[in-house]
Amino acid sequence: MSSILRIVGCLSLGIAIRLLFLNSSYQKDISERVEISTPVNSWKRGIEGTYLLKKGISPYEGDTFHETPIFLYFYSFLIDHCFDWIPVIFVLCDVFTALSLGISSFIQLSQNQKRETVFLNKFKESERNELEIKEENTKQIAFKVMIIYALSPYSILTCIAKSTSVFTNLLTSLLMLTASLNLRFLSCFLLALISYQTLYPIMLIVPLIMIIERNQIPESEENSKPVYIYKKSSVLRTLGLFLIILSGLIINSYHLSSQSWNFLNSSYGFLLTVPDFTPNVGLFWYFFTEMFDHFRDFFLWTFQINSFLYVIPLSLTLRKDPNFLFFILLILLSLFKPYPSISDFAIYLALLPQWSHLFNYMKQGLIVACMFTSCSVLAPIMWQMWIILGTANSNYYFGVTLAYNTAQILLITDLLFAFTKRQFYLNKGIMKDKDGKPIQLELAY
Amino acid sequence: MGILTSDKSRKQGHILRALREHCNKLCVLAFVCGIFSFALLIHEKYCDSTYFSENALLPGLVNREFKEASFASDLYGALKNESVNYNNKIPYSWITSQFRRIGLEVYRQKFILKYPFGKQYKYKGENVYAILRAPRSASTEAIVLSTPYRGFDSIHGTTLPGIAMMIAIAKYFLSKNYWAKDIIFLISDHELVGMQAWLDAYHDIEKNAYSSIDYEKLEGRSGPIQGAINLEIHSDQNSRVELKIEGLNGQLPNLDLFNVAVELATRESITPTFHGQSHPFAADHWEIWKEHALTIGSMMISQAIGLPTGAHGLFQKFAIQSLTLEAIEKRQTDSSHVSVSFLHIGRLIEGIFRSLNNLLEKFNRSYWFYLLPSTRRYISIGYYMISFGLLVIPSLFKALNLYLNLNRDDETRDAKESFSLWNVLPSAFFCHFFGASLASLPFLIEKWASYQVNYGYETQNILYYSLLSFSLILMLNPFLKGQSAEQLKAYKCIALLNLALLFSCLSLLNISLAMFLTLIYIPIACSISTQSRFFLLNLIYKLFVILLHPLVIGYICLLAMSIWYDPQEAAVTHAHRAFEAHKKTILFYVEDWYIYGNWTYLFGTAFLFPLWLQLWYLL
Repeated sequence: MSSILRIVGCLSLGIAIRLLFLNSSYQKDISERVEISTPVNSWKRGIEGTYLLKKGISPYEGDTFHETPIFLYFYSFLIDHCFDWIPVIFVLCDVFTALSLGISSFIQLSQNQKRETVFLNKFKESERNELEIKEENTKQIAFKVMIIYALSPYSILTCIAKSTSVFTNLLTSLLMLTASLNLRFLSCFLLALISYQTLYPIMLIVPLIMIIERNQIPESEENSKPVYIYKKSSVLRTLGLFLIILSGLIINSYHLSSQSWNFLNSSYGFLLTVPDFTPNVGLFWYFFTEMFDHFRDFFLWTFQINSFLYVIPLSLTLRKDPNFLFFILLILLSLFKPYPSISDFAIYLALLPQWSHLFNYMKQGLIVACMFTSCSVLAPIMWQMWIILGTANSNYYFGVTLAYNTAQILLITDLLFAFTKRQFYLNKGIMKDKDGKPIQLELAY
Repeated sequence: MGILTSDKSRKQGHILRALREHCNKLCVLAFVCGIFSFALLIHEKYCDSTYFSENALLPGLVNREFKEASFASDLYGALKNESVNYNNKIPYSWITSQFRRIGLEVYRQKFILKYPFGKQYKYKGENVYAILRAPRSASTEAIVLSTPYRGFDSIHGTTLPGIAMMIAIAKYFLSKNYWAKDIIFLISDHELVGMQAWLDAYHDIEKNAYSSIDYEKLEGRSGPIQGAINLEIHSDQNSRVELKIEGLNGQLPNLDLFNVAVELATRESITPTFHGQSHPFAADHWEIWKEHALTIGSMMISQAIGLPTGAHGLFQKFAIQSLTLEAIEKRQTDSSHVSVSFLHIGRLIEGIFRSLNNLLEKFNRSYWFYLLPSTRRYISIGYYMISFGLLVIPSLFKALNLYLNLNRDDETRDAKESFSLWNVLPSAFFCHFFGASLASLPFLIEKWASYQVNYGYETQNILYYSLLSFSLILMLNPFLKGQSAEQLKAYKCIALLNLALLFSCLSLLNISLAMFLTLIYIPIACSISTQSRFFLLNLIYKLFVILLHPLVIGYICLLAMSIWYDPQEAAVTHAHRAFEAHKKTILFYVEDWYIYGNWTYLFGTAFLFPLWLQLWYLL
């Protein structure tokens, strides 16, 4: 009972803060921050797009609107039919995101915990204590996940700015929930919708297939086999379902935007060729403004390949824990997207407690936390100095975004190392040398 | 990748071990090094000579030919007679007619200042400005020559000679055909308020319900303003020209503009001074060092205060490079024969304007971050940041030390929840929340202004006593205190990290304030020990932390100022005077926040106070 009260209390605090700021005079300033609103998720552009749509001009002709037609119609529906309720809708979406993130990490943690009992039973009491994900903690952690999404300034700011990433985050969290509930059709549909909207999450199909396949294997058999052998038909079914829905969505958009393929160029083309150099927290803008034009194509390919490439090695390494793969890919998305915003950070920040059993093996927790904090504080200051006071220049701001991305990279590597280390211990037991200290582990090729 | 993969705590490096074992020594060493390196930077040999990084300025390349000095004197005489009849209001008709007679377009702009507190009085004012259209280009860029209007009996010294000078200069400028930028001659009413109204209108700043200045739109405009010179000439016989650069919130103009002014003044054989000091020439290094230290000290104090030293301070907010030329009146007792007349000042202004006229683009080199030990020497950000970093780094050392020791204890004992740094977050959050609510106090006072008037309370008292009582309540609040020793260590770790972050951010915006605060905060914050066993020691720590309270710092500064100005008075008088001044100063900062966007009050309440609170809860 008390836990429900706590959940309700935290969520209502989150709602109150969001509504308060949404109706304040700060809303406009916040929504114009480049860290929050990018060309692909700003609500202002959404309004612009629906206006053009109403006037009978294709929103994809110019350079204002870069989202997909179905979402455009969704925004126009919102604006036409429930204009006064739009802030409330944004807040509610965030609340649902928080809830479903909490529930899904609860489910995933319980699953993980059950799976690991087989490994853990081999160990002595003391070792088990060190490695185990404690059952009584899972609820606590799920609660933390929820509270962080509800109250972290990053998700609050995203919601106040009415960035359309609020919807993307909602869909992502629902995707996690449906996948861990083993709902194949729904999760495929959600993933197709997300990939259709922002393209890059298309790589989440790999962890999704792995999650679904693993859920197919009955728990009793699961640990008897050293390597999971996926059923080909089932994999193909998931993949086919995803592709059919995705193409259905695209064809549907073709009809929605009056039989024209223009939207492809304006949404996916915009994402892939990166013509907009408005500063954001990502790495693209500075690099491409500084570069000579004839290298552009080369580096464009390099950058874009980077965003997709890591799925392959990661899915090979993390084949035993697709949930973790999903989580790491979320960080990678935020790192390599051409137009990232802090909403991408907000969602994986909330999910971090789910992996708190890895924190013991991490080395740079403090450094990463300090880097994120100082970047969040310094970015507005540098922006003020560069744009408003005119005393600094773009290098100052870029320095901050570079530090932010370095922090993300450190976080990923640290998490991966912690994960492999724990996996090693789970398989081999905690090895200790004569003095009783844990032995040094090194990665071999 | 060693740092990423390596697991061995023995191999983890001598650095971390040194930090663990010799943290206190390292802290003291770094702090002392910081102070010494800064002292060394002031030394003649280690600070750089100023130079022109913008070659387009070409100062002094052309002969300066201004010769309307007698016209200026005539105007000054006429204006003096005229202003007597106007009772401290601008003699609009006289000024407009003078500008018109020369052949310039003249405009006026009305504005109303709505005082946000108390009876919410409204003050009316009107600016006058004239535009000289550049013969060589369309009005795409402009330079401003401004002066605030002060009548003949103003306590700050009249600026009537400056206005006469301005008109004479305008006449001379109009006769020349080399202008590529429009020149705007601006006379502002009510000092800075008029300037702010004019600048807001010029840049079309959106007015909303909260803005305290209501202004008319400008009838005549020009392009973006590239530079501005603000004149404060008090007399027709002057001894030297004082250059003032510190602007709102401690912002500085581009060093090149300052260099131009110094160079051209020297060429006109005017002594340019900065904080009362000209460039020292002496054989003795120690003498030079002392003068440098005095100048840089007084510059840093004035920058740290965060108030503009003249109307130039408001231009800087709009990314316009500007400075004030103040001609210091020659006293009868002055022994020197040097006299700066209208002719010299006119030629100085002409030179500066021709330099600005040469500019091809905005000032773009990164000389916005500097400290000046004399008019010809500067310390750039690259050097002073080293000293500043050394001053701040003890807090990082100490925090890391605490963190490493937290982790080490983990190995021996069972991991307790109270160790974790995460558990500090709620307490830190509440501290910041209280800070933010203190910062929004003026809005509440503004909202209930009518009650306040009915009951006859003064705004300054309400503000002052609510700040005091709020901090007292928070000081006595037992809920946010750390309980166990380990928890307190975690609190301290976070508080120190927070301090380092705040001061390093501040150093980018206002290095002087950051430096002064670091000097007093870091030693105390690093040396207080949590949960001391001796009652007396604990009391002393508490006393030290109370001294760091933003309000107490303000009070001590005012007290020191009062003693500095008349040392003969009794101590009680000083204490009382500082107390009264303290109330006024806080209200003054709040007013400045409302009208000009001075963030000192905001910084003190929303940023510094929460940190202080965190330190307080350690004890």
